Formats: sequence, structure tokens, C-alpha cells
Amino acid sequence: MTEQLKESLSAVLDDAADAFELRRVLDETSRNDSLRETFERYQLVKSVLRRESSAQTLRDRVSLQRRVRESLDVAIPDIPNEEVVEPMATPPSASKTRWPLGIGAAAVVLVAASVLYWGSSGSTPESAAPGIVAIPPVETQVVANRARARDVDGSGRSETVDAAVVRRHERYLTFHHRFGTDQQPDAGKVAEPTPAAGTDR
Amino acid sequence: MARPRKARSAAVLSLVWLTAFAPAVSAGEASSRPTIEALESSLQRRSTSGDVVRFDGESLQSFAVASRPAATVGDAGPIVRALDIADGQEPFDAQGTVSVARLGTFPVTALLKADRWYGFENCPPRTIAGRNARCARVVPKDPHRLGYTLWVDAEQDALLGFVIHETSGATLEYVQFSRVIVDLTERPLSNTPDVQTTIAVAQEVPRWTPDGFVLQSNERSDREHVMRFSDGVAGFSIFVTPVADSATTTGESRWGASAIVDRIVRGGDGRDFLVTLAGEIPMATARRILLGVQPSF
Repeated sequence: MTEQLKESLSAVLDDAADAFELRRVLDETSRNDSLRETFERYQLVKSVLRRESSAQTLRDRVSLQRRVRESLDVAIPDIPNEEVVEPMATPPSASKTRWPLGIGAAAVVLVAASVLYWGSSGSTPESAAPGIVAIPPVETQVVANRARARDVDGSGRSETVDAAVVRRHERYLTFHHRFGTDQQPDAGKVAEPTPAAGTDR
Repeated sequence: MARPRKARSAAVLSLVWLTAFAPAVSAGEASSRPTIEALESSLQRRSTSGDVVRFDGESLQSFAVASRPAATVGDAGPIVRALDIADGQEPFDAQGTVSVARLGTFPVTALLKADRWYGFENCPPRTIAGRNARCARVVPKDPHRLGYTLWVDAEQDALLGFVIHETSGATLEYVQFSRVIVDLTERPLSNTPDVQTTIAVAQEVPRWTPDGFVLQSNERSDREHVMRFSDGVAGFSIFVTPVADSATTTGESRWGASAIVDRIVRGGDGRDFLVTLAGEIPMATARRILLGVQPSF
């Protein structure tokens, strides 16, 4: 993508393009699949930041996530799930239940969001950088014993999939948050049913 | 028109590079305590509302935040409504809402009291939602707590955003306004605990907890024992539940700033228990705490 085209794209996204620039971007996006995808991603994140939550936006978002997931699935070799992983034997930073969607979508969306955010605020990268430069996509880690696992990238890092554990953890987390991590105990809150009632196997 | 666009193009390239390669931002030189003290005062005098974007390491979510009406003055927190639909199926649950609500209820008073465990450093200012923001970094003094970066409005001292960091500096959770309205309003702060206050010691209190975390709650029934600890800023809960089958699958997961670890532990009476820890602490610390829990019903 040329610098001139980048500027035209930026102008269109900022609603600041003149007729010539708009036509130029539309012509290019009709011919260039990569540019069109970039344009769609930017538009999507822009709509998020502007709180445009129409059904079409939501469909677009799900579609974006699905495309990212599919592209990553292709890149991951399909290795049979045979290895049994014990929790203490697995590297702490190893496994991720939601890795394919998580890292990919986060990277794409965060970078695009950053671009749009600073594009719209007009601040320079120097003044804007501190909040973002320390934000690598964060892995969601799930390491489960007696769970099926596979070596994702040949480095010994394993991926486990155990939906029951994730669901149970979500219930515990909800209960933990209901109490409030930084507030005094509230008898009315702790009296509610606890996750123990629905312990998954 | 040309210069801002060039600046944006430069920003694009810089951010792509920085997002991929740059290490955590280096700490500032001076103390950010005055900024945090100003924020403490602001939380009593001002409320914020608008649109919020949250990044939890997996997805970008958006929320609408409204000031809580005076009629519900007993709860000082804002009203948070999720705007996104996860995977087109379910509305986002409480996890994101709790995080976003912290924009209006961040435990600043407790944070200032807990300076034995946290240091305060300045960091470079930036722009958030079109407003100039000062930056205050809260740096844990041991590896058993998470760090925070707070963005405070330069004029109104309102909290415009925050980042929660792992001890390595990696970002666990990122919350910021994308559109904000700061109102002048008198409203009470949420209660914050006196971190020196402990309650009755539980029989199953873990053999080790990080300095500064004290028992805040100890609830026991015939089917579960729940203990809650806090250092005033962050907290964790421990759940001990008898299980009939030691083959119950256990695991570890991280949800934004929250870590969850569970284990099957055999009690002194020979029965098996599912012991679960959920809290806003580093994963390694959660594991270590859990190792010291000896169930006994």
C-alpha cells in the first residue's frame, strides 16, 4: 500500500476525504482484496469505538473473528490429541483453550483499534505510546490434568481443551467478583448459592 | 490536512512495531502519589459516564457507562451495560462489567494506605477520549501482586482508564473510555477495607499467603468453605468443596486480570476436596497459596 493510498484511506475513515480520494479508495478496494480486508477491519474497530452496535456491526465482528480463527486453524498442524498432561509437569505459560481466536483476534483488533484511536485523537505516537506499547496479546492459560492435549508448535507447549473446567472456573470467578475483591464482606452476597452446587467433571 | 495524516501514518507504523516488539514502558522518575490523591478526591466529587472499551487479552469489548442515580446512593458504583455480543450468542457476563465499574469505584483510598506493598511512579501523559490524561503507575513491591497504570484526567482528575499488568509487565487487562462525560456530583465512595482487620481464623487458612493479604471473610456450610483475602486493592477467594470422585478434572485459567487455579487435595480424613482459588493475583502466587491449603471438614 502506498503512502498516498494510506493517507486517502485514513481520510475516508475520518470522514475527511474529498470526492477524488473517496473514488480512489473505492477503486482500489474493489481491485485489491488485501486493502479491502484492511478497510473492513478498520471500519469495524471504528464502529466499536464509536459504540455502533447495530446487528450488521455485530455480524461483521463475528465474521472477522471467524476469519481470523479459520486462518489460524490452517496454520496449526492437526496433531492427534493423545498426550495426557499433568498440571505440575506443564510449563506455566503453556496452554490456551481459546488461543486461536484469542491471540489472533486480539492482535488484529488491538492494532486496528490503536490506529483508529490515535488517528481520531490526533495525538502523536510519542505521546500516545505509553498505554499501548506494553500490551502484547495476553494468553489465556488453561492447563488441565486428565485432559487431552496436543503439542501446538513443536516446542513442548501444549494446548488443552476442557470446556467443563472453563465453565466451572467462570462460575467461581463470577462468585468471587460478586463478593467484590476490594470491598468488605457483604453477608447478603455470600449467602447466594456457590459454584459447589454445579461442580463439573 | 496533510500533516495530521502523515502523523497518523507514522503512528500506524510505530504502533505496529511497538505492539510487536517493544518491552514494557520504563518507569517514571517522580512519585505519582499526588496524582492518585487527586483521583481519590475526584471519585467523591465527580462521576464519569460514556463509552468504554475493554481488552482482556482475548477480545475487545465495548460498554456503556452511566452514572448511578442518587436514589441508589447506597451503591456508589456506576451502571455498566455491555454493548457487545460474544460470538453472536450471549451477552457478555459480569466479568467485564466488574472491570469497567472500577472506573468509578477504583479502591484509591485503600491503594494509598497500602503503600507498603505498592510504589507510585509517574509515567508519560497521553490523550484519552480527546482529553489530556496524567499517568500514574502503581508498581507492586513484591512478585505476589499485580501492577496498575492509571490514566487521570488532567483537568478534572477523573479516572479515564487503567491497565492491569502481570509482574513481568505484560498487560492482562485494559479498560479506557472512548467517549467520556465528567459530571460534578457528590456521591459516596464505596467502602474499602482496613487491611489490618482480620476475622476469625479459619481452620483451613493456607499455610502461606503474601504479606499484606488478610482474611476478610470466612463462610462455611456443610458443602463448601469459602475464604476471602484482600490487601485492600486486590483480593482472592478460596473455595473448598468435598468431591465424591478424585477424577474430577482440574486446571488453571486466566480471565483478564483474574487467575483461577483448582486442585484435588486429599484431606486429613481421607476424603477428596476440590480446592479452587480465584483472584486478581499472579498465577504463580495463586499456585503457591493453593499448595498450602489442607482441607478438613
